[in-house]
Amino acid sequence: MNFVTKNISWFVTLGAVLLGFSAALLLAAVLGESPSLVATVLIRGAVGSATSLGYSLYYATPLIFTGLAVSWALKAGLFNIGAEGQMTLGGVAMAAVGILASGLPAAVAWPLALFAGFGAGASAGWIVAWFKVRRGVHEVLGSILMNFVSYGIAGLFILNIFRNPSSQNPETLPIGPGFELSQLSLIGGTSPLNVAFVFALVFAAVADFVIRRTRLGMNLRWSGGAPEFARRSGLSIDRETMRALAISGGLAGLAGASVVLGYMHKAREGFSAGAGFIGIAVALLGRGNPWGVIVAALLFGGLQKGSLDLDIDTDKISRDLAGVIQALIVMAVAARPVIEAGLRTWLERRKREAT
Amino acid sequence: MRQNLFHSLRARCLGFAPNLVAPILVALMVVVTLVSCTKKEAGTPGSSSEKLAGPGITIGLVLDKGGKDDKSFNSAAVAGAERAAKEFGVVIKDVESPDDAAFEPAMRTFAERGMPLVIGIGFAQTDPMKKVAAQFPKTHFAVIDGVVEGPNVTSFMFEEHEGSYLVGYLAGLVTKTGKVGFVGGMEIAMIRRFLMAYEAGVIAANPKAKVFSNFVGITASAWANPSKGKELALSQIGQGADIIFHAAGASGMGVFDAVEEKKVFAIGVDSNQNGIKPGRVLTSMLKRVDNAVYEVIRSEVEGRFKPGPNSFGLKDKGVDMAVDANNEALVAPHMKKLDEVREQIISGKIVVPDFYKTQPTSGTK
Amino acid sequence: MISGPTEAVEFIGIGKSFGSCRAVDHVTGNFSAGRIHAILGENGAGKSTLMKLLFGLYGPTEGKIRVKGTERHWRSPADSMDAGLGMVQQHFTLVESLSVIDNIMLGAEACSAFGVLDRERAIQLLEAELPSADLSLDWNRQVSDLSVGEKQKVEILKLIARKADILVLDEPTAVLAPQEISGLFSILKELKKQGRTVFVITHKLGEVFEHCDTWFVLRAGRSIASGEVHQTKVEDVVRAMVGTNLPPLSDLSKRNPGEARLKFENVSVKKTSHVLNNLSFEVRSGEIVGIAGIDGSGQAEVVAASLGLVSFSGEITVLGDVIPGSQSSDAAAKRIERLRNAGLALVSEDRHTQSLWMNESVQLNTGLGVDSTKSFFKNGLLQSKVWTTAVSNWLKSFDVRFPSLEISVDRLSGGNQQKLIFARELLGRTPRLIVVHQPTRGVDFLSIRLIYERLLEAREGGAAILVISSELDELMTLSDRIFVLCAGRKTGEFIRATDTARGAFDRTAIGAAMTSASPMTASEQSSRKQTEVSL
Repeated sequence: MNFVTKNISWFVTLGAVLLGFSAALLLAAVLGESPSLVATVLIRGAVGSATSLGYSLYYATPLIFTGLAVSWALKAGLFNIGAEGQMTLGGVAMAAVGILASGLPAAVAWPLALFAGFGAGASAGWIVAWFKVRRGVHEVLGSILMNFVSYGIAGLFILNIFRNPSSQNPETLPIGPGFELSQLSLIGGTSPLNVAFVFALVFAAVADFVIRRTRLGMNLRWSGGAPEFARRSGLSIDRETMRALAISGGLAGLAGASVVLGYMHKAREGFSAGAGFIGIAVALLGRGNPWGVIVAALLFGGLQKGSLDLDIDTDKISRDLAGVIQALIVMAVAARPVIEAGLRTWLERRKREAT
Repeated sequence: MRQNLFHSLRARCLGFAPNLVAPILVALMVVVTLVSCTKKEAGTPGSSSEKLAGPGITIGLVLDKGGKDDKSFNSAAVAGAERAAKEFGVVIKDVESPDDAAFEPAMRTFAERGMPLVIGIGFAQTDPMKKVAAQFPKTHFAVIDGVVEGPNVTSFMFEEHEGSYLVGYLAGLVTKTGKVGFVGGMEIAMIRRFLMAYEAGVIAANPKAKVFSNFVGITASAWANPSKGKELALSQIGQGADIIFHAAGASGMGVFDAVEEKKVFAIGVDSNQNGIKPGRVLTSMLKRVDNAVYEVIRSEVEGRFKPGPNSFGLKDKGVDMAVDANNEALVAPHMKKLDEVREQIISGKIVVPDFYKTQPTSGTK
Repeated sequence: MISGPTEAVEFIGIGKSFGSCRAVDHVTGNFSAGRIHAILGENGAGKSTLMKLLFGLYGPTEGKIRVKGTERHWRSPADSMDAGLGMVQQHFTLVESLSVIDNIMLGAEACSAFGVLDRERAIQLLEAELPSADLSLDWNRQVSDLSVGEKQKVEILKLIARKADILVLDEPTAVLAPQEISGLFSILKELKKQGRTVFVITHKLGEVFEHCDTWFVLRAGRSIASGEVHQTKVEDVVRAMVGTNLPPLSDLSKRNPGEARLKFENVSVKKTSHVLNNLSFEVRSGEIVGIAGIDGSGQAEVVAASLGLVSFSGEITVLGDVIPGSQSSDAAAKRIERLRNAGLALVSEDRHTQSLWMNESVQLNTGLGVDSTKSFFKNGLLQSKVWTTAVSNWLKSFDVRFPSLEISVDRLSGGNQQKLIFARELLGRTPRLIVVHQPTRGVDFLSIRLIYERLLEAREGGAAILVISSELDELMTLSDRIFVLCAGRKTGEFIRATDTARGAFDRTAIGAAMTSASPMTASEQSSRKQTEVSL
């Protein structure tokens, strides 16, 4: 009982996930499709084979980064919805160094590419922060507008400066072989799962450590959790805002690594495929906790892969069901405080009546 | 008593009103999604009765991001597959790809399920098909509009320039102002190929004619921006153009709106679009994706699948000019001349300029 | 109806446990109708829990409640509301964006047919219930425009509209300015005249002896004593509350001020409202200076300007550092950090937002902001052992009661929260200048004593102390000097009389200065100072 009360938020979150799934399966039943078939297809599609699992992890990789990015900003009480643009810029920056310095060996190339991706995303985040701090532009507005600027800049690089003239696709030239991230075929079979997934886990662990165990992390959370108190203790909220949004942008900038360096080996227009926006849901579901973000990202990645088979293996359900499940989960998570309060009262009352 | 009951009920409802919000929203969602989530009924015949294995063979169709309702490229592919399904009793499984990364798992799933033939629609699928085809040597693959080399892959390319020359020639004959327009979708080599041949056709018919050309954009969204398409068409009409050829996917719908508004003519593309604005569409440059899909299924059914590149031109009606009740009156006076030109292209008497051949690297890789 | 002198509420051996903790322990008591009952006790004594049991927010673990002679078992507050009970919580539950009448109607709606709100009728019904015009408000004003006192009035009106005849007010005066307090009690007395019963949870004895009819003291969950106010001495109630006789506070008579640690010279702060106007004062080491005044007379700006958080003209010197009249927020932050490390202790007005991080742990809150001087971090990495040891000692020395260091600080009582803040501010650094704003708002009796003692000790140790408070008693207890702010101007300055036989300060004169809008001329000021001293 005590364990339940203590971790009630996590239980409610888990409940939200289950609720989302059940509602979606119910929906499937209403549409005349067997819920057990839908569930089987989803699960088999997500983890049924090494390759399927690999795809799920591959899809989860950018979501871990963008989820971390959104969470990082949330820790400082900031809402970064510009992860999509930051991811795009980061991916283009990685491709750019991969093209310009194509001869480098992996030992130099990987860190350089990651650095470039982080830097590009961080710059976009920093600009949003600058407008917030100096001009009072709310970061939600700033970051959503920055998305469009990012698309524009990315387009300039993909479609003009580094364009591959021999391709019908809107994409850059290929990056140098040293920049290509190794595949993780041991886990992921023939899927495009690559080392970027390991990078994502490492970054999550580092983020968790920094948030909990360092002054940087404490000040970050302080500036968001109790800004007036922090200000009166000599913490510069402006500086923390700049730092938080820059790091958040940098983390989002790394999200492109898996696609650009690990799979396509080039930046193609639209490679981000909405991972920046799904990252917001991932962060909410993971409750801003890096480990929670990993779990949420795996869930959403698995859903993305599993739902591809819905088109093939069911008659009446399309992969749009995955979107419905995601939406239902997010809604249930958004209602968490209300549910949680209700649940607490109920637990209390039950306890009272028991005695 | 009743009074009391009512009172406490009321108080309770008010007290817990926020708790009701979530369920109500969820209920609303369910209703909305019920409407939106059902599979679109353009489903392939037979697909609802068959699962994976059945009496006939099952063929996998991986559509491009536009989806099967794009009224153009993907719709044509689905139409061809349905025709083949009806005639040969095969089962078609199709999947729309939400993003670039999803082509590969879709193809792979089809191959893993033991389907003998997997067809990919659109040049974006060349890279993933190259990978998957190598991993499944026993499965046959076909790619439409791109070239993939491999012992188990057949590629279908269209000689878009031949058809474009032909409709350009028609435009040159019909124009009264001596000015015609071209609205391209995304600025890529393939659309440049349309434009170059179209220009040549116009000039061949009417050496003094002037051709205006614009592209909707340089990103994939250029295929789906009708308002920009209309804007460009109106601007060309403003400069005197009275016939506008579009090769702009869904953005072309804006071109049709513009010509209807200004009482001039448009030329459609890919599918037969003559009926979209009857009487205002001079003709459509057909790209018979449906024929290509039909053909490759037939070859598979008849056991004569042949890897390697295939090219569809005017000769084999892979590209053509649409004539039907909607435009017969418009083109009838010129049909004789056009048939002549067609023959000359087929026989090689007229060499239509090909943008791909003017480029150092060829249009596809 | 039972005739005769009715008991509005009876508790019979009632108890409530939370886990192993007995918040209310076999409490028995009778409360007659038509009177104002003071429920007294320290924070954590069980006052609020008892009232929540009465109101049905909690169910009792044992015992019985009788209301108007009938035994009651509430299943929810809705039940008790139907039976005529109503409670005003410490934190108001008003919808800021709605009008007064809409707030009153919420949940007690006077609807015409088909559920259409009928405001006219609601107002008529309500006005018929009102005991006097004192309680009347402009019904159509938006609640967000109201003062704290007016919002409280709306809360009371909500209960009247629901025909509540037993009203419970939880610490109603904690948020009110002095003149609003007497306004509140005159309303409560009107309600009493109508025959309603009023419970007031408080620990301010002054109010009890001035306005209430009976008192009822709880300590550690038990009922200790009760009685009629007019038959009781203050000391008896205090002893019942704290369990012992309190020793007198340290002697303030020795006064030996040294160098100026905080100095304002002709400081003005201009905003649309609440300005500081040409304010000059200084606080020297070894003295306590009090600022009296009605809330919102510029006290908050004095603190903000000292920290450099608002732009001002004139000159402010803090611990020898001249604060620029306007600076970037980064520069301000750097300066604050430097000053805090150099010994500026600060207890801000709103402890929930300005001095605490509410949903974080006790441990974190006690160490925040003093970490840089205490090597809580090494190369940026948290040294949790160092941190834990240090804050445990501080908390112990300030007698902060908390279940565990990990518990969220918002679970502590107001008194413990405030003691935690004082522990951090006074022990986390060597205090050379202490600025405290509303140091004891919502704090219990014993904690207040402890805070006073520690401030006086710090004064002894040579710290310069500025106390800003709307509790005049507090200032008169602590201060060597008091000056009065009114609308941003200094309207009076008073020095503690050496002969305390007739009181240290002239309360009436200070009260007059608090409401006089015109500033004193220099001669007036000096002559008044003269009088004060000669008194």
